[in-house]
Amino acid sequence: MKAIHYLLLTMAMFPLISMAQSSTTEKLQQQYPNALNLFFYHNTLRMINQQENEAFDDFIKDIEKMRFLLIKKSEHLFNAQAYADLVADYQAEHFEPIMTARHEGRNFDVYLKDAGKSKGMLVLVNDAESLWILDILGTIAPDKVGSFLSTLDKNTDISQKISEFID
Amino acid sequence: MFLATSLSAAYGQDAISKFFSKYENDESFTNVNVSSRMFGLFTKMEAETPEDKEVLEAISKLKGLKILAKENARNSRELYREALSLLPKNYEELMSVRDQDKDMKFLIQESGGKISEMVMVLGGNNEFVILSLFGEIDLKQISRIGSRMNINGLESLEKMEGTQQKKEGANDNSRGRQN
Repeated sequence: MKAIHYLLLTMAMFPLISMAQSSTTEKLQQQYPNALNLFFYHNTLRMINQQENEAFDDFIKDIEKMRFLLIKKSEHLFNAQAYADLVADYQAEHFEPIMTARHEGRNFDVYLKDAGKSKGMLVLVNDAESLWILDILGTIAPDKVGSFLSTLDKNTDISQKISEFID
Repeated sequence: MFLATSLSAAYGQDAISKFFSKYENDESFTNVNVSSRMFGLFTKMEAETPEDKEVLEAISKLKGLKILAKENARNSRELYREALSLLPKNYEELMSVRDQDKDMKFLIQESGGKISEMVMVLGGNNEFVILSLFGEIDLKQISRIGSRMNINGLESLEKMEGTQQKKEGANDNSRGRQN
């Protein structure tokens, strides 16, 4: 079982540059090389869902690839201006805001880029301690975005699944 | 002068702008904004049934959704009264619900025979919610829209649909008897 975990971990963390969905995310990762940076294919995401949570499967249904970047603000200098610059860079890449939310000090910004057949979605989760970026090739179904954000905000969140997966 | 008048007019059109401006930066509130781009995505979803298709079409005509909510709010009833007092008089009350735990009001703004905005205000014992849904709103679909988009509170409008259907049924029976 542990071997499978290592195999999945290797697959998930293998730094395939061709998988970079957004040049802004790629640039950000280069600026913060120590930030947690993971790549997932659709099948790897399915493997993370070892408890076979149907809601999680629904969220990832239309995700081809996903990059997860976690910047811990205590370890890196990342202030409000850096966040504003980051959003401006994403918008210059034609990511359009589709939803913003704030709950208990945590801000969620969801952006969509529709370039014909290929679609991209960005979920930025920003609070006092950290910034998470989910840079997705593909989409999360629009009727699932709200519950996806809610999932991100609860104990059963993706970061926990990723942490459990890495441990 | 023109700019000031235009800004003032635009501000007046949005029922809860004043309320939102006052509280949207207050971190004790949950704040959600959904853009028309998001609603447009629903047109690309596959409908499994004719009813589903109608709901998706109705959602695609929406232009935006704003929600301000506060949980564990000791001043929830006060916020409820304040929000209602800020609503312009041209909003028509659609339905109100009062039970032990909460008061709810649904108000609409109509222009040219079409509903352009629906506002829901909820004041509970310790929770407060104000929601503004705008665009072209099909009231027949509104509770299904709420259910499809997981918007809490809009399911209360099912009661209104039930009442409407009963009324329509009663009217049909009455016409049937007359014929």
